[in-house]
Amino acid sequence: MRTRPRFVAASLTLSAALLLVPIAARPVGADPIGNCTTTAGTIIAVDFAHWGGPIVRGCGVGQPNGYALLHAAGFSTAGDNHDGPGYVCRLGNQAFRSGTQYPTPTEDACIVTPPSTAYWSYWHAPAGRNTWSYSSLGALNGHPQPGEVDLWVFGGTDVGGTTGSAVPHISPDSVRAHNAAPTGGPRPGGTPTTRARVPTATAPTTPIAGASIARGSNGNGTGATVEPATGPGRSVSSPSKDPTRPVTPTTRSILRPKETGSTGPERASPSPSSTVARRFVDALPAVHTDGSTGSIVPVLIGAGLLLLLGGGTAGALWRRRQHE
Amino acid sequence: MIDFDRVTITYSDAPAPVLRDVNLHIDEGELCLVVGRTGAGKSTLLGAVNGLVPHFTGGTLEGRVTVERRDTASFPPRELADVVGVVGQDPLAGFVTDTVEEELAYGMEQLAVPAPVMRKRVEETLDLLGLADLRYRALHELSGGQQQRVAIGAVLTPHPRVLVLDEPTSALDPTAAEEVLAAITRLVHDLGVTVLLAEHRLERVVQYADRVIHLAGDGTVTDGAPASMFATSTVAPPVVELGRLAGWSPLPLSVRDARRVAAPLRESIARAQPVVARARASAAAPLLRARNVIVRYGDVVAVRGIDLDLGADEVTALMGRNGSGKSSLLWAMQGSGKRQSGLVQVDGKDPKNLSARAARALVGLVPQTPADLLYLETVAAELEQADVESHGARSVPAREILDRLASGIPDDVHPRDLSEGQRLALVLALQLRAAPPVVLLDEPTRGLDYNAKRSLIRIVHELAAEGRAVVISTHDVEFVAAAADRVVVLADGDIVADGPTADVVVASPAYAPQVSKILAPSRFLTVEQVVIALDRAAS
Amino acid sequence: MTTVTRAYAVSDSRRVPRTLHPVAWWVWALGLAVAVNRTTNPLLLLLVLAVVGFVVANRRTEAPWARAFKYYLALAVVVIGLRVVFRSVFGSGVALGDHIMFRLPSIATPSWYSGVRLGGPVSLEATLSAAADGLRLGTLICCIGAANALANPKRALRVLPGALYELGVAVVVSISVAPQLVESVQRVARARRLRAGRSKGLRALRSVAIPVLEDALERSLLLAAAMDSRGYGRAGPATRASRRITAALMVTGMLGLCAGAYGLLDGTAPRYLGLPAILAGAALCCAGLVLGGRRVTRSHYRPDPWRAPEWIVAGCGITTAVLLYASTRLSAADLNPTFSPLHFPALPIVPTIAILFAAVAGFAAPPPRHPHRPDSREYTSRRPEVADGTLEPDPARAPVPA
Repeated sequence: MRTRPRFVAASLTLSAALLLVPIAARPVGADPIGNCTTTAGTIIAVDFAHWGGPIVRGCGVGQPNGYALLHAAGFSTAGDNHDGPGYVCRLGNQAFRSGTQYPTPTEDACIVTPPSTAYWSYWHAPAGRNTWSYSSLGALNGHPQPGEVDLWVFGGTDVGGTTGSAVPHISPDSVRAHNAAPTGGPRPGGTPTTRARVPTATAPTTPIAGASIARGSNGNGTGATVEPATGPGRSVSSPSKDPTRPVTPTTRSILRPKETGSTGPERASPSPSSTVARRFVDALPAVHTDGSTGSIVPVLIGAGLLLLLGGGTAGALWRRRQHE
Repeated sequence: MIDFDRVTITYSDAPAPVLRDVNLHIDEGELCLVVGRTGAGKSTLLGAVNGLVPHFTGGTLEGRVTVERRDTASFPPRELADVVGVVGQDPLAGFVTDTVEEELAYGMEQLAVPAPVMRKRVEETLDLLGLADLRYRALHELSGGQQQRVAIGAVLTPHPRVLVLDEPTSALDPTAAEEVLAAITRLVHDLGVTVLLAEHRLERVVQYADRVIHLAGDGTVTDGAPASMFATSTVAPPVVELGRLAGWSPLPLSVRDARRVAAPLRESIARAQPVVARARASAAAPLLRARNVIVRYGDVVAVRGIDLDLGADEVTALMGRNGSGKSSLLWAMQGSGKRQSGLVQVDGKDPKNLSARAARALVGLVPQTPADLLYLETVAAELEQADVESHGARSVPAREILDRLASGIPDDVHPRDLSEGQRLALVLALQLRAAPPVVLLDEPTRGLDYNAKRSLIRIVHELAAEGRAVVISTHDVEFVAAAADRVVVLADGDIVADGPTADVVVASPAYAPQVSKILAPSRFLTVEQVVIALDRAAS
Repeated sequence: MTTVTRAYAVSDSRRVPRTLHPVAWWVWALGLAVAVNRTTNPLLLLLVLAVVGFVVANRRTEAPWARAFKYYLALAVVVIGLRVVFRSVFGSGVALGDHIMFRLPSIATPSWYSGVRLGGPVSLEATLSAAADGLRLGTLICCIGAANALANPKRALRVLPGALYELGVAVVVSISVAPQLVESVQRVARARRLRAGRSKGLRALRSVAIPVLEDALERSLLLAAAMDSRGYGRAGPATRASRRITAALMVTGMLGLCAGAYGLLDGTAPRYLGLPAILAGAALCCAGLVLGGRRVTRSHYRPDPWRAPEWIVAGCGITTAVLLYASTRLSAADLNPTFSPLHFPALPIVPTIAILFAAVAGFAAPPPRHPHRPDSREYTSRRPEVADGTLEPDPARAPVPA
């Protein structure tokens, strides 16, 4: 029963590890969105509609996997405790609520793999295709191709990615890069990019009731391909749904079917009768808190409490030994 | 009280019934001794009293067994629990709870005895069996004698009218056995409990019996007063054999009674010197030398620096109460057991430093539970395996060894189906196949009847005559008196006595065989010695 | 005797040693287990371990089952180690800016199996997060271990209602035979050297397994026979049908309780699995209890009382669970901190207090009774008074059916 010292030692080791590890300055920077063209780079988009947010678009060139692509474009991710950082449990970008990662810890503790009804699902559309393929593999396994579009949508799908709230409602082409002139990198200080881009009319214009689904033949880890259930038109500007964030001039919106039912306005269940506008926002580079490891005070208090209890335990063990 | 009405019991795969047409009537308050050779059906008879046979063991029972007018055919053992209490050989195997007090209460809880009554009876039973100091102790910490007393107490608390004890002292040292038997006789006298008792070492119990039920071995059962029954029984304690030899009538059953009628016999052999059990070659250099052997398990020191020399052609008995370090010493000498320090040398080599194969070619050990070494389906397979294991040893095939030890064990029998004695012979044959000069036997007499013991004595003497050193650890003083040349007594890991059998054994009443008690001051130990002395006197 | 008692009371403790009701310990330990399920904060988990260790060290008895806590601790350490090793081997990827400690050789998996990665870089962040995850499981194990160490498992099983008694006894047999099995494995393994058989391979396994299994079977049969002949399982007045209904009610109810507990403990389980299932299960169990209670054919020797200490100990556990459950929304991020980016875990105030509150059980529970300690003195001193040792026939003895 010489166990208490072990706990103390464990906690001390933990704090020592945290103290001694030098906090390296992290590379900060994101590929500017203009680096992506129809033939180069991969557009990565994250749909924050679940929290009333926009679709944040970023760009990554020559990234080895979807995870690197996210980070290259300026997104921050958090894995869950069980699966590690490779499983994207939370996503955030500076362009939406100062980089808060969603879902928040209150919504999902990200300890075990999130439920199949509420997780970030991963969609691909290779160059030249206007349908989404559901990726059954994680961010670390994909190999983004030039001209490809990747999309992360929060919600639920079945295992094949054919039904559920996470099925995308925008077409790949509405997100896709077009051969506009390359633009410069992000402005210093993390101000939003101001280049307004007028999307070309590649989005389907016919109203479609619900998601029309076509089975994809892409055997390489992808599930179904999905025709986007996009709305019939686009409005150039729309009021922001996010009261904390002013509408930036770069915002562009397309219309998407408005949700109905009891699930609330943010849920993505399409309805043909009405549409709402979707905002597109360009991703901003991640802002890193350099070397901040938080306060050590809680750890010290915790160690003190552990020592106190350990002392009580040791005393009891000593008394026990005396009696034997 | 207990009635057997034309009872015949047949086990499903047995060719003949174990008990045939048994008629018995046992009255209230009797202590009945069930005697018979191994396999004669003693356990079957006892099991039938509370319905464990055939409800639990299978087989068919013809006729009727009634206890207090309850027919065991319609009352399973659990419904007879308030009338019959059963105690088995191994008390630990039957314990259901953890502590003494809870174990005493368990049976009453099942019978829904009200709590205040339970409290009272537990206290009474604790006092009756002298267990009051142990009430909160964990059962597995107790000594064997204490455990057996708890087991008896645990079946006593529901106030059964019948107590069935199947060899309750077979695992106990002489003192602990006395303790248990004293408790049993006290119950009979104080409470008027009817007791059915099976016991191999009759010398311990025969004097207390009111009645003897004798199982002849062919399924027939006879019963009667002890003196008349023992005149012809197939098994008998030394006091009875001596009585038969001297033609005493009525046959004395206790040392005290025998001593009172033995004066003429003592007179007739007073001048005769008891012959030594067997002639021995003069002692050469010892085969095994052990020096300062220490065995300890954590804080417990089992063997405290023992020096021991074992000579060729010598049978040594290792005695001492349970837990005195006998087994630890044997295992340490073989080399497979723990040994903290000390030196063991056989043929200039220490078996501990050798491979298992080389070690067993020097020292062979038959453990307390011989079955631990058996894992194949048939006797033949085990023997073949032994030939493979001891390939190259200078010895005849295992089958020949076995036939010499115990003839007539068929090849195709499963080792588990052998009798205790046969199984012992099989394991001994496996060990002898490696031709070790030193043979150690750890409690081989457990569960052996008189005839099996007699053949074991013959085997042991033959082994010694071949120039081996043989060590036997045992509690059985009668066996020691007949088999051993030398006795070593251990207590708490130390040697407290070491010398020729006659000297050591006669010196203390606890270790003295019955014959020596009857014929003291003559130093006769066995009936055989008396027979030889009488023959010489006659011729 | 009063002087002895008083002297003892003053010298050792002001309270009479006795064993706490096993159910109180189980409620306490399960409360802590529920609390542990709500957090991966290593500080909080270590606090729970410290509290559990403190209470066990202060309130366990000397019985063999009470000494098993260290094995649960060892198991917890193994779980943590396994979790870390698995995380390292089945590389889950390295986040940008992670601190790489070392690299394992990476093994390429075929394309049809590309969801699993083997080897690769191992980061400090991943290791810490795996350790925290393992620590949570390990702490859970220790909570259950504490209940087993503090409450006699056989006494705990006695609170099972009559309908589940058969189930309880099956557990009793396995509890009794298991340690003997360990002992016979050691004995046979030692004896095997005597035959110098092969020390490896199937035959070696067989030469140990067969004698051990035969021994275990024999012991189980002996124990079962002993229990039967001592009156276990007496039918009593109940009919077969009523026993079956009782058993069915109890089993369904227990299933409901289990499902409900799972629903409450696992945050990702569907909502209907939680409280409704627990309530339905409890209702079924109560029905079974009432029905089963009609056929009481057993009585209890020294039934464990349920007094103030029991209420306090059980209350401590429940309070801890409720407080941690309630604070899930308040301090979600602190309860489940991430290690990427690397930063110190916080010590949220409400959960900390809740966990420390569970340590009150260590003071509230009465000191355990020790078999060799002074309180056995009073019994030895009583002995001469009843030393006559006769067992009078008891008038209250159960009547013998004719």
